[in-house]
Amino acid sequence: MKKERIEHRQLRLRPFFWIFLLTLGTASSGCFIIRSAAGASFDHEQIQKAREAKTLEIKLQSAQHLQQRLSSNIPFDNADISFYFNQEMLNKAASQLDSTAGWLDSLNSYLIRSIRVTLNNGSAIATLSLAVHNYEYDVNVNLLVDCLLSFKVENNSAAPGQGKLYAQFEPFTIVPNVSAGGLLFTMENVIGDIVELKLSEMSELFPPIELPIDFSNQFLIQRNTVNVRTGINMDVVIPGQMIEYSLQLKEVLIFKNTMFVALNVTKVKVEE
Amino acid sequence: MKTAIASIVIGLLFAGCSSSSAIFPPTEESVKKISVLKPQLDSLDDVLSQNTQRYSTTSNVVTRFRTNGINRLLDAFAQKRLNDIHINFLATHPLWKEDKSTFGIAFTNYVDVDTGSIVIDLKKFRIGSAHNNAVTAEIEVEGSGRIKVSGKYAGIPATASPQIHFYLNDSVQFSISTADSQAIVLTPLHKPLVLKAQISLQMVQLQIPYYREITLQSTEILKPIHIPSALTSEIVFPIPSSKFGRQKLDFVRRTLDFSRYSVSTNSNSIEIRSNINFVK
Repeated sequence: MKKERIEHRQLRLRPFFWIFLLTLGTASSGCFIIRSAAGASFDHEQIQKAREAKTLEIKLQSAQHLQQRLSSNIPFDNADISFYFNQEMLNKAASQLDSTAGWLDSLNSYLIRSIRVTLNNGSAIATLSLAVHNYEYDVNVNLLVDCLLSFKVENNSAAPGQGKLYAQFEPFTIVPNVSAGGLLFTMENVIGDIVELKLSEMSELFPPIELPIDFSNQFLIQRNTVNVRTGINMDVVIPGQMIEYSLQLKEVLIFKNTMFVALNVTKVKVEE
Repeated sequence: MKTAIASIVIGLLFAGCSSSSAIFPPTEESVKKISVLKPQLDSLDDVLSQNTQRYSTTSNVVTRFRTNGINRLLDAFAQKRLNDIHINFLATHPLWKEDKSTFGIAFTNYVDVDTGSIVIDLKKFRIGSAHNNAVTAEIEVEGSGRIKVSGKYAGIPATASPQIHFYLNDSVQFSISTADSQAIVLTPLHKPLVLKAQISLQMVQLQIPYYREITLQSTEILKPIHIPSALTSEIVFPIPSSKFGRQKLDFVRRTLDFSRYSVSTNSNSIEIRSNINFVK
């Protein structure tokens, strides 16, 4: 009896369904409703290949720049102080951002699931694994954001010499983190928004990674007294003096597994 | 039949929509790009890796100080002041004396140092080459000043303010170590240093060219010097702000824990190696 009622209702609905479908077809320029209502898939291979190609392009450009730098006649390893940070160290610093949450915009929040930094010849590439939640559609999307790390010193104008060296994220690809299969079109819509609209703005959205370099240093020449009691009785006094100095970033180069930071001593001051 | 029509209509609808195909380049285009870029990158990578492999390290951080850099600091220290070392003279009885006899009468000529205070200049303090976890530093000190002396000559008391001149030019070896990876520690090794003192004294009829070499122990006169490794011991890490608003960043504090540190030297540099952990 129940089955008959359902079939009857389906028969009555069919003409309306076809009219609705055809109307939708002619009006679906933005595809928004269909995307939201229907299910479909991203082309997994397409995404992976696009990501690989873009990453190769970035790596090659950076490697070419490094080659040009190394072939120039300007030596790079003659700075007063040089730091060599290995890849593990950068990953330890980057992991401080794991499980932190922020906002891409007022509709999209994100959770950093993990960050993996890879040091290549010429480039430092960080891959952020993000869980993005879109409040408009109430959906979660897992994204992989590949970023080139750019390094810059942020100076404190109130305290000259007390700069900080940051690795800034510059996203160059964003892809959904899915295995072969698919996503709802709703998610695709969200991803599309993020990929097309936010890529250029994203560098300001992720906090930079600070590297543990102290640009303002000092050390003490300790006060000392030596009592001489042979020949002439005298006390030799070396007063305590503080040597203060600042460091200035000369260069950052990225080698495979190693980040090289060169700094020169500047602004040396001696205080008693 | 109806099912087939529905499929065609839906297919047409989706054909008009942009899915991943609109966001990302076509697969064929990417594959072609990869086939061009990858061999170029691999080839360049090989060359670069050969040239930069020596900079690879298993330690989290290597801090390399060139001796030239340290000398820039020490030069500033040596050049900044003209009164680097203070010498305070205490009563010295006698500084000099001679026993004489005239017409059977014995007497003693003598000179005492009563008091005085002078400053002398550290003219040079420079590190030379570094070997076997030690560096050799050249030290030059020179300065003059006047002291107050008194004495008797042929029984006649007299006072004077002669000039005293000091000079030291020697080398001292410093061992290099690191106590906690936050600093290079230069510790002087035991060595006698010769401070040459000369007084040109003229008092009554007395003219005494007084010269003496005063031996000072390097370990007495120089204390260990701690030169910071320029690594911070703490970072206030920026993290994303969990609340949406104008403030995009929050901050958390992390202490850096250094471990497995070691120090080494080569001809023109000192290196500290260490591992770092970020502690909440």
